[in-house]
Amino acid sequence: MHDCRQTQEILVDLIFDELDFATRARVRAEVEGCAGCNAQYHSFTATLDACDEVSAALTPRESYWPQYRDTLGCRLARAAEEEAATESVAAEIVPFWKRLLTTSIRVPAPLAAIAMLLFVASSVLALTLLARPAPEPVVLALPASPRELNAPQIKLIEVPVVQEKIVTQIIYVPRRPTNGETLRRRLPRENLAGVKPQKASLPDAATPPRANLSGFKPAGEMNLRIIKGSGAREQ
Amino acid sequence: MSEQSESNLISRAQAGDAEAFATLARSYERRLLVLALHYCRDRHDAEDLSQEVWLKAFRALKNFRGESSFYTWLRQITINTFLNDRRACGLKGAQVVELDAWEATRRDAANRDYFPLMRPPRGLEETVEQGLLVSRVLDALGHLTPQQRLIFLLKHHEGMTYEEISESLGCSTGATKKALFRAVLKLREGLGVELEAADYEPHPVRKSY
Repeated sequence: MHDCRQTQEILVDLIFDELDFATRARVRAEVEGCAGCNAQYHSFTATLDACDEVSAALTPRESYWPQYRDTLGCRLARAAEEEAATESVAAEIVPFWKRLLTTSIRVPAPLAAIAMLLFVASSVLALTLLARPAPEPVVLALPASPRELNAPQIKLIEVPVVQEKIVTQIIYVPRRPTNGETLRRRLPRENLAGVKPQKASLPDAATPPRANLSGFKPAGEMNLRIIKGSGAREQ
Repeated sequence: MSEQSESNLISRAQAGDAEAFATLARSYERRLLVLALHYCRDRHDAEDLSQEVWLKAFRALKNFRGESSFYTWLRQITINTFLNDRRACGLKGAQVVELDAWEATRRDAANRDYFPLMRPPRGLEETVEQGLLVSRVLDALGHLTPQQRLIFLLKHHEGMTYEEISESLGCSTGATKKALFRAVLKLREGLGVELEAADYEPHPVRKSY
């Protein structure tokens, strides 16, 4: 079924030979059989013919080219000079690490030889020390006496050392106030360990309250935890 | 130019022989300038643009490894230069069409050097006709977007395939096809090519364009 719109959309492909053989044959047949598509096709080819004609007209004549080449030659020469200048500048700007690696200093030959010998000797010494095997443990073999030979054989069994750790924790709990007794509150962030109990006194306005254990009593229970062993053998 | 002599020239030019590069340039300068003329529609801009292409090619010649033909490589430089120029034109604003040929041709028809790039026409009538046609085609090309114009030129003048064009421009094949179709439609409209469906006589379709 011929569809003018579809055919006209691929007319440009037909003109520029972008269709495969079968499609080209089909579209060509459709164009030849349809007035509208045929007119479209020929209008496109006429358009392209006009462009071709202008291309030929725009091609410069021979007298034009010497001037074009002169201009291009000048621009190329300038570009070459600029490139050479850029390269020379780039060559001058050598990065520090490169200069460091390529810098050479003049050293007197005897000094250089001595330095080289020292270097070689120290290298050989270091290599020798490294290559020497580690000393083996000395085993003293004493001749066994007849008594020792008759004695029961003793086997040494490695027993893990039992470690004991005793953790003592003393917990102070505040005593309940009784009969209007004012509870001295513990100041925050004060370490009470090692602070000796002292006589309770009301805090003075001038002197800041000191941390003490008054108002506290040892807890009724003392938790002791004995840990034997360590790691997986902890008991 | 034979392939061997071209590769010889390329090798010499890569070694810094400017004369070899100039000889190489002579082989393609016409093709390149005509392409630039169609793209810019202005003689001075076209000269400038084509020479810029040669300068870029000269600078980049050291990197040419012969993986494609020299002209394919040069054409890609041309396309990139045209695209960059298009961006520059976009920043500058309006494009100037220098050849308002109808008025100018009427005024200077007798002057054979009016179109300095054109071959000498044979007569006054032909000069006017040719001038008019040049003017109309360049004007019609001016109605295309730069991308449509470039795609049209690459297809019509350079004979590149859709795939090659889309690869060079970095767009899809579908977009290339669509742009080309629109370009031809616009050109037809700009040139005032009329449809002859009314007095239809079945014209044979060309085997190939």
